[in-house]
Amino acid sequence: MTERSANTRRQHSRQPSQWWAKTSVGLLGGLLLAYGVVTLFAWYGPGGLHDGAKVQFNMWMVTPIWLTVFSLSYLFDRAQTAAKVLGAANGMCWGLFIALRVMG
Amino acid sequence: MKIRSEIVRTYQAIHSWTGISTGLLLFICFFAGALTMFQSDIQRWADAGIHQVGGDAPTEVAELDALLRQTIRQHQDSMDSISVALQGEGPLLSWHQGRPELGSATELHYASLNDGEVEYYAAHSNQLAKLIDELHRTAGIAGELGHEHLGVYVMGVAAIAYFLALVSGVIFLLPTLARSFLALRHNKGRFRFLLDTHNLVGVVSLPFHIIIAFTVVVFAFHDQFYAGLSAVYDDRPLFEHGQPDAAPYAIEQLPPLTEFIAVAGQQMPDYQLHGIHFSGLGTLRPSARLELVNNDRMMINPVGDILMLHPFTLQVTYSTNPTGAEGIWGRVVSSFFSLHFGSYGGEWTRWVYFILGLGGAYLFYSGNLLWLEKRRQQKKSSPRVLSNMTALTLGVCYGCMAGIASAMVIGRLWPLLPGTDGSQINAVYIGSYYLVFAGCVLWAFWRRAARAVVELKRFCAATFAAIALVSWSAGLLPVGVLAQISSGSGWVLELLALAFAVVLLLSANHTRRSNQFAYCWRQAKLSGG
Repeated sequence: MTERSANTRRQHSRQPSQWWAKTSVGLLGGLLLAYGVVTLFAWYGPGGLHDGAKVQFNMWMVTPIWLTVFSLSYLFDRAQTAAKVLGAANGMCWGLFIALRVMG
Repeated sequence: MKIRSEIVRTYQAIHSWTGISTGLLLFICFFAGALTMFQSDIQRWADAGIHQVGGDAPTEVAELDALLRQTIRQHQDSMDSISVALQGEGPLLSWHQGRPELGSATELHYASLNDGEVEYYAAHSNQLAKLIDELHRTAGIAGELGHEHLGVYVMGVAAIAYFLALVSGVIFLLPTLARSFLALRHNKGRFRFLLDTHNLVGVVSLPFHIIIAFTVVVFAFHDQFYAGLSAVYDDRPLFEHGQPDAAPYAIEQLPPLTEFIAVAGQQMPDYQLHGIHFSGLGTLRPSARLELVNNDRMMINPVGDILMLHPFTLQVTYSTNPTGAEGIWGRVVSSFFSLHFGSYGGEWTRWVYFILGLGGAYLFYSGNLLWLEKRRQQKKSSPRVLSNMTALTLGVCYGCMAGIASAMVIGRLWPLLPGTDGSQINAVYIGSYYLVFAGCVLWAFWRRAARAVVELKRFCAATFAAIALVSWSAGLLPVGVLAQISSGSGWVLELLALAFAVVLLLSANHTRRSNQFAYCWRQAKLSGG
């Protein structure tokens, strides 16, 4: 890492707006991704959509995925990177779901 | 393990701010939560002051069955909500009308057998254990939002921050974890010891805390999460509600209790059936809730696992421990509840959860003190802010403990006052808790932390000692009163209260010598307080 890039990074992490940006990206992106994963699992995971108490299990799974993604999203250097990565993950997840729905 | 220093700093900041903003609320929830592990002991202790519940256990189920039918015939109001106890001491049947409001006087009705004679009596509900549980769920924040307590939502948000605090705490501790994990450096100053114990308790009980944080978020926001799920599900409703009956069943059609016991044995053979709760017997949606206990299982709540039946057709409508391949989802969900409530493994788990709960309270208390010390050393906050925050921390933490203990003592002595009856008891609990809590907070601000800390610890110790004293002083009081307060209480509660008192007293003496909050003292002098 060069001296210069380290400095830029430090400046970025010191910008107050980065706090709010990272928090919003993690909070919303994480929640959307959690729903994406759970939705895929609900429709195409074992047991199908209405299997016993699976709806309860699915509801329970939203929180741990969401909070894990949220809390780890501060590992990204910049909010923009976090937004890109979470955006891509969400795109893949929801894209796959829509594709499967349209084909199925 | 190497983590870049900016990331570590980021997480350090997250840890500080999530911790300081939620620590005091979490302290209240954890202290009250630890006490809920002994809620049946606490309830027995409270009941002993007011009324005697007892009578003989029936020799056979048929006798209980006859009592149930006779009671429903003679007391039509019991059809709405009546409980049958199949295990344990206490009245055989109990019922009430409407939903018992927290803090208000609800009349409870009981039926028991005494030498073969049926005995009916009524008493005002004593909600001490329930109120402590409510404090645990809401941190004492009053008010409603929709059909849920406002405090539950506040704690849901706090639990999200608390989850962040846990993850960030681990991440910024990782680089130094191996070196200082088991180090308890008490010769390097009080705050080093505080930091070491904070880290040790945090790391050792991390799995417990992760479970608690995650379950609290779900408990608070499950309605919202289901609403989100229904948007991505198909058109079928998320939950199938059975059709109501075409016409209400007559009470004579109720199958004998032995058939309920048989269904329970069939569905959950390794469980003990503790009780059956019938509701809506005269209506189109009657139900029977069977409470079953097996300490070797992960049970959904402290009462046990639950099997819902249609009371007339005996059809199973719901089970918290469903069998078969399809039941796996329900069993996993039950285990989340179970991990939060510690409702597995019996007595051992109760103690472990009690200690983990107190450990959690210590985590938040020490976390706040560490934040204050760091801000002081780095001169980041004005002395006034530091002094006020110290006062708030001490006032809330000791106020919560003293408030609960005082409410117990005042509630126990209340019925002895002339002109009182049991109907005020729940309001007395709530009033005395908030009064003592607010009093402690004001005291901490008025006296300033340096003086208040010792006084609050001593006051707390006194209130806990009083719990044991009112139980054990029965011998010094007149005979009639003696019977009223000495019976029915176990020794666990008294010994625990006494242990709390001793620890607080020792801690008060230690704090007095160490002059821990001298900076607040100086501040107080400067501002002329």
